[in-house]
Amino acid sequence: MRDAHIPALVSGKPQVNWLEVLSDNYFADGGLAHRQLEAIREHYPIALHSVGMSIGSTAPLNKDYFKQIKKLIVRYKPELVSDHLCFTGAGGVESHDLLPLPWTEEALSNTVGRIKQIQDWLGMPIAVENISTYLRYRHSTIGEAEFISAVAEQADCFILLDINNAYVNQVNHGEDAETFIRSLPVERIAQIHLGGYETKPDFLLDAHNHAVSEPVWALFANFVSDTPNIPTLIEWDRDVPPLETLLEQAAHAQKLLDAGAMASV
Amino acid sequence: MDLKHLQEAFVAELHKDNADNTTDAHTELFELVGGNERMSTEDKLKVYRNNARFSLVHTLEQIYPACLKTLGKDYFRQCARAYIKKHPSNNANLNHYGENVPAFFAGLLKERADELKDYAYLPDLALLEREVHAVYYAADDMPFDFEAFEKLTHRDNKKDIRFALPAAMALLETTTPALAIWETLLAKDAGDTDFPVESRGVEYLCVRRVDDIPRVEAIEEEHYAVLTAIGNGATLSALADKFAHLDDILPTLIGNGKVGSFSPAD
Repeated sequence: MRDAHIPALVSGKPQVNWLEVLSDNYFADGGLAHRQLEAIREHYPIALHSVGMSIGSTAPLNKDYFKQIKKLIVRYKPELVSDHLCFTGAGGVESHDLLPLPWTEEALSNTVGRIKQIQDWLGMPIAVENISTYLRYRHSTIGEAEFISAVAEQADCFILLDINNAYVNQVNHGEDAETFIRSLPVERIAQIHLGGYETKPDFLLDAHNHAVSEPVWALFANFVSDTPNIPTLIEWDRDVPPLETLLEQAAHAQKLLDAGAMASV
Repeated sequence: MDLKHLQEAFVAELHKDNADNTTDAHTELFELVGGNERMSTEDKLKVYRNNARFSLVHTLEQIYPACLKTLGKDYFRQCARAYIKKHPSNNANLNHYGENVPAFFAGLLKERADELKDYAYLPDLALLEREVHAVYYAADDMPFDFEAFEKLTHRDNKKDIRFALPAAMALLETTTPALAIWETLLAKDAGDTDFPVESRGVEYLCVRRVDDIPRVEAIEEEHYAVLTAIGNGATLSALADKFAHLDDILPTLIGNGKVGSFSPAD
């Protein structure tokens, strides 16, 4: 959900199954943002998605940050709370970007311990999202899907599968997105993200500023053909188009989900 | 390299203008990342460096739109990059980033006296924008409870009272025409704008959220002084001792929402 669409959502109440809210945009103590979100919440279920939990960091957990998340959980009763499988800062400095973890036993153990603590604080399980990356570490000893699966299993949390991110990584690192997606434990996938990337000369940038691309639709269609009914979201954060464009993309995703549901009956 | 040191080395790389290749941590991180035929290690880290910088520059542009407009996008971004280098973010909540920009601009005016000789108003303009931003995100205030106030002042009329300012309100004093400049720069149809930059004496400004939107108004010096005293915790009796016209001023300030609440003084 983006600011530009809030008036149309509140007044028109278009048919949308649920909305995702970027938690970090609602850390204000009061004011317009909360009044708008209250109005939205009266009509739509919401999921809270954040970018600053720094789930894979080695720094102490930021209690102030989680207090803010907890306040939002209590106030808005989201269906799901999620963040990214990454770290965002170190040494007291915040990058405000999603930085990649090496897939090592050390990182796995650290991440699992932190997620357990986070879930304990928040009083509910969270979902962790696979991120787009622009580098891989040579000393990783575990594959990405194996790492995410182990995190989900050991921390007893959900997975937020971002199929655009899987595709971006396929192009950036010459990996196979289909294999990655199929290697994840389906029963742990609580939500799917679809979004658009920006094509740079040497790589794809996960910019969330375009419509969902054809290869990403194809991966999604294939995945939901036999694993339907997973709540799916269209992400569009920059150069945000009219709400109608997003509703069209969401309707297309729903059509593919419905087709998968029909086929699996 | 263990995970902690890898993360510290990674974040350190994000804040370099030019990669410092001399540290062991840098060398080790580069070995762990490695380049390929399409992108060097430096190119890969540069993607993250650009992303991190973009987030913070964008945040500063959002908080300081009038400063951005008066300096121009290129110069503002140059200043923003220098600010980010001097003040890396240390809070996951971006609402708090950029708090030191007014002081940073004050320092910049001294460093670049010739270049910025026409921008003496810049620190106060930034201060005004910082307060507008803070007021926008501040906690909601309850309306002044006149009934409770009357009860308290009648029943315990010998007890003193302490007022509090609304959470969504800020005061600032300036010797520059910061308000006029801010209004001119952010007017909807503002193109290339001319505005008076000469001081018109001291101006007392009140930033207050009205119907969810921060409004800025110039207020009288004595009103400003009363509000400042309230903000500093003065009791009603102390205010009465200090301000001869308090009987006229206080009802006005309460009536127009500039006094938020009250409580027994002890």
